[in-house]
Amino acid sequence: MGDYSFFGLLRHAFAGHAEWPRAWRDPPLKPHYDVVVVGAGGHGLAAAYYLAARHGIRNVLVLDKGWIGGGNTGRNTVTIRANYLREPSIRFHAEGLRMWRELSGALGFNVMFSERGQLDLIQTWAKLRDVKRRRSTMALAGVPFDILTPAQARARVPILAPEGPTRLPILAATWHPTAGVARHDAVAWGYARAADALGVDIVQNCEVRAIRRAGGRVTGVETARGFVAAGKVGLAVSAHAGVLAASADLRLPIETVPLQAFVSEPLKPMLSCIVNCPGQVYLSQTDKGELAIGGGSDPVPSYVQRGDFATIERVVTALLEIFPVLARVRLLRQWTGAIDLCHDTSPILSKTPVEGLYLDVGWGSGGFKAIPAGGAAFARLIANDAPDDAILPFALSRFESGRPLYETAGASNRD
Amino acid sequence: MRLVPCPTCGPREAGEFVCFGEPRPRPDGTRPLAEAIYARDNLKGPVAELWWHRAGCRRWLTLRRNSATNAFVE
Ligand SMILES: Cc1cc2nc3c(=O)[nH]c(=O)nc-3n(C[C@H](O)[C@H](O)[C@H](O)COP(=O)(O)OP(=O)(O)OC[C@H]3O[C@@H](n4cnc5c(N)ncnc54)[C@H](O)[C@@H]3O)c2cc1C
Repeated sequence: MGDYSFFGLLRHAFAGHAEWPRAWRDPPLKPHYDVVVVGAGGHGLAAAYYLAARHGIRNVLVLDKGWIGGGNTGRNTVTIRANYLREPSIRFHAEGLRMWRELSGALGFNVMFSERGQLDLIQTWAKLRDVKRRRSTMALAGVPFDILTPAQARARVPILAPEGPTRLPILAATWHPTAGVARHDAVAWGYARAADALGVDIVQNCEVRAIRRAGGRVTGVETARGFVAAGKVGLAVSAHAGVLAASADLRLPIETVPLQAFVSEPLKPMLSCIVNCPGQVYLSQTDKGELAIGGGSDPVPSYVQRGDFATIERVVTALLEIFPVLARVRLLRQWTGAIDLCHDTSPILSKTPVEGLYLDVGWGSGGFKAIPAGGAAFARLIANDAPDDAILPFALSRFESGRPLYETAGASNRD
Repeated sequence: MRLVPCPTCGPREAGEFVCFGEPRPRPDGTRPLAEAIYARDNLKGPVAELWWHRAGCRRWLTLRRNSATNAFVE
């Protein structure tokens, strides 16, 4: 593994950058692995890394039908935050925020985490009452979360629409100072590189077609390159969770829907934090100066990674209402990911009725932030074959026991 | 613009419709209750879905679509 320290970079600079080794290997498939993780998005790669780094399980394979981070991990708008609705979610993401701070150092790879804070605009009285309650839950979990006046909000974000007669005036705002952004690809690459260095095999362009079982226990996976035997199998395949689960006779409370993102032309620095207008639109400014913009999911379920034009119109309308100053800014690019929207918009981090088969899916519109904490929790679950208290509320069995974990804090349509 | 083939009105803009997705029949005891209520087939490929032509004939329709291409099939 190449060393990306200052001296490492300097040494390679003097060598004319001709001697950089591959960041990860392209190994052949072995016939048997202790653990096979399906899906080389952030969650699958992080789980493999923590299996090797924290649990000493190194005979691990990560398979992807495409390329590393080519799913939602490489398509998302990188908002990292913990201002969720329910206590288990807040605590889980608060732990995530702690991990993000240390991540670049831990992986030896700059994931460009930038703790710049998030401002949520409150435009209805009902929402204001909700965030007052939420402030208390956040305080219990030790996450700073304040309520600001409209004047304080405008001081933080001077390009907000000025005060004046409008359909939905800004009544207040919330300020979540430990929220931030990171570079999506770097997170996938950083985990891939660190996992590979510990002996994890990462194989791309190799689809898993079915999960194989014998007597209620997982035996391996059928892949595009033949059968691979496995002691345990973890699914971190986002949109395709239902497709693979079906091969093990499982039906999940997950629907696959398109979620779009938009990027403007590069602009001078004008937005120092993330701004969210709940359920309508959110944005942050990238280091290149582009505004990265997101909104709600598309109204028709689909696996197609192409968005509906009506959604663009809806998101842009909301954007211009709170940022009229952007009226003449052009959108440069638009793209779509297929997200795994769970019934209660909480993820499924869980054992299954099939022994040795584990799920880390259902992250929907909000699983990028959960890559470090989710990957670590998934590794713990697989290694111990048992959930711990932190992830028990995310078990698949919550639907049977009547304890769905309804969240309203996601970017998906169900807010 | 995406067109939805309405059997009474012909092809109309998708914004006139509401898609309710995979039909979920009332639980009838053939499946565990939690599964009947929450689980989805979420198929990739041909699906039969419930649509409502809200801003047109106001009929409830079952339409066939390919969820891997978005194309409607007759
Ligand atoms: C437009 C958009 C904006 C978003 N914004 C945010 C945000 O601001 N903040 C946030 O926290 N989250 C956000 N998200 C959500 C976030 O991107 C995802 O929840 C997260 O990336 C999921 O990571 P993952 O590793 O579980 O899945 P993915 O990154 O999707 O990886 C799954 C992988 O599984 C592979 N796979 C699927 N089927 C198979 C198979 N049969 N065999 C082998 N491999 C297979 C796929 O190729 C893919 O690479 C956003 C998502 C989108 C689409």
